[in-house]
Amino acid sequence: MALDTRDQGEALGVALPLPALDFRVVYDAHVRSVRRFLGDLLRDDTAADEATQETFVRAHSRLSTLREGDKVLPWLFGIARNVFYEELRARKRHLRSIDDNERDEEPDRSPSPEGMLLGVEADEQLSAALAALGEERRQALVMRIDHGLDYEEIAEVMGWPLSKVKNEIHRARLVLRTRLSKYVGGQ
Amino acid sequence: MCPMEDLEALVAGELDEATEARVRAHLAGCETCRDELEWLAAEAELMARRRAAEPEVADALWDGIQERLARPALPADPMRSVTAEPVRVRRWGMGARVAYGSLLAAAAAAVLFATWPGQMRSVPPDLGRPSVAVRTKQTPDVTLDRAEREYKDAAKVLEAEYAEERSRLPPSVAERYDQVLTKTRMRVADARVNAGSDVDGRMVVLDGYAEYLRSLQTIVTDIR
Repeated sequence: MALDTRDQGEALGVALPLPALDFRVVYDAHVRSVRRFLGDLLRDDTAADEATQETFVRAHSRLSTLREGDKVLPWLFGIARNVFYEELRARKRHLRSIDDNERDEEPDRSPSPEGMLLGVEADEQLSAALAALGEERRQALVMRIDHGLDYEEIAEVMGWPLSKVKNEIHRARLVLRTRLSKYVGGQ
Repeated sequence: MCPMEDLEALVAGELDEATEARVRAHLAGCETCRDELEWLAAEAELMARRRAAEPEVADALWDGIQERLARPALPADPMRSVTAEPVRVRRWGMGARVAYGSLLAAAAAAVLFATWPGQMRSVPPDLGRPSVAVRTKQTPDVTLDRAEREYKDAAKVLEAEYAEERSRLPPSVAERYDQVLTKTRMRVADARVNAGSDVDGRMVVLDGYAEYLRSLQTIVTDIR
């Protein structure tokens, strides 16, 4: 178990005047977001559950590294990404290339004749559109449009310059809109 | 065109009154931005519906985490890729244990001095061992040289462990750890310059090395 922040501060010779973070509080506040994020990355419920557990196990040992003002969710996403990439290597899965080339894939189901924003069908098309994005572009996009991280936070998590974050999210949105245009009322 | 962040914030209802009024005034005369706003609103609706439809996280997830945290450390799974981090919490690798063994040996060797009759010194007490006094026929310089070499070798092993773990850290955390370690290394370097051949000064250098190794130990343990 990690040292109390004050003990750590003394051992490191620096002041770490943080209140201790309660692990259960962190878990309850963010498990759904982390689980959903890993579900979008791994596209496998069992793998996403295991990766979520691994993420929080690691987070537990590193809670004391958080400084006052640090945002917990981006920090957790950083750990989750590492868990995700290790899972890929361990399974030796051949996924879509990490250089963000989208597959030229059509949606599995034909659009309904109505072409309106319909619940189940649009949701399925959204999932298919997200799945078709390159790994890193998808990560950046869902962090923005699903989890509400700001561009600077996404840049920190991804290790990208801010300009790249905006550009990648813009391109990802274009892909989504191309696939969803039949489902957005009247467009 | 409006900055994307302004349009996103408008959809999310996060703009202050003045900014919202400015953005809406712009939208009144800009079809491109109105189209963009419509897409952002549809996107937000889709994502909200997606979130609402997801099942609750099972209690078993928390139970599984508690179980894993309670497990004793086990060797890494040899079937996993060598680049994959073992699922279970790792303790210090063999390299770090050897490094610390060398450190303790160095600490014992640094306690002296047969050529100065009756003069005994104790191991720096903050190494966590009982004080040990050793009478040796070696000169102080030779003993201290050996001790310093042992500390340096131990530091190299722990630095390698840290370098291996560092890539898993968020950049801001890694940078802070780097700063702490750099500061400690600089104190050791300054002490070394100031000590010259003075025995007491060189003992201060060894104390500095001990502090540096403690910092490395704490950081690596914390990461894991």
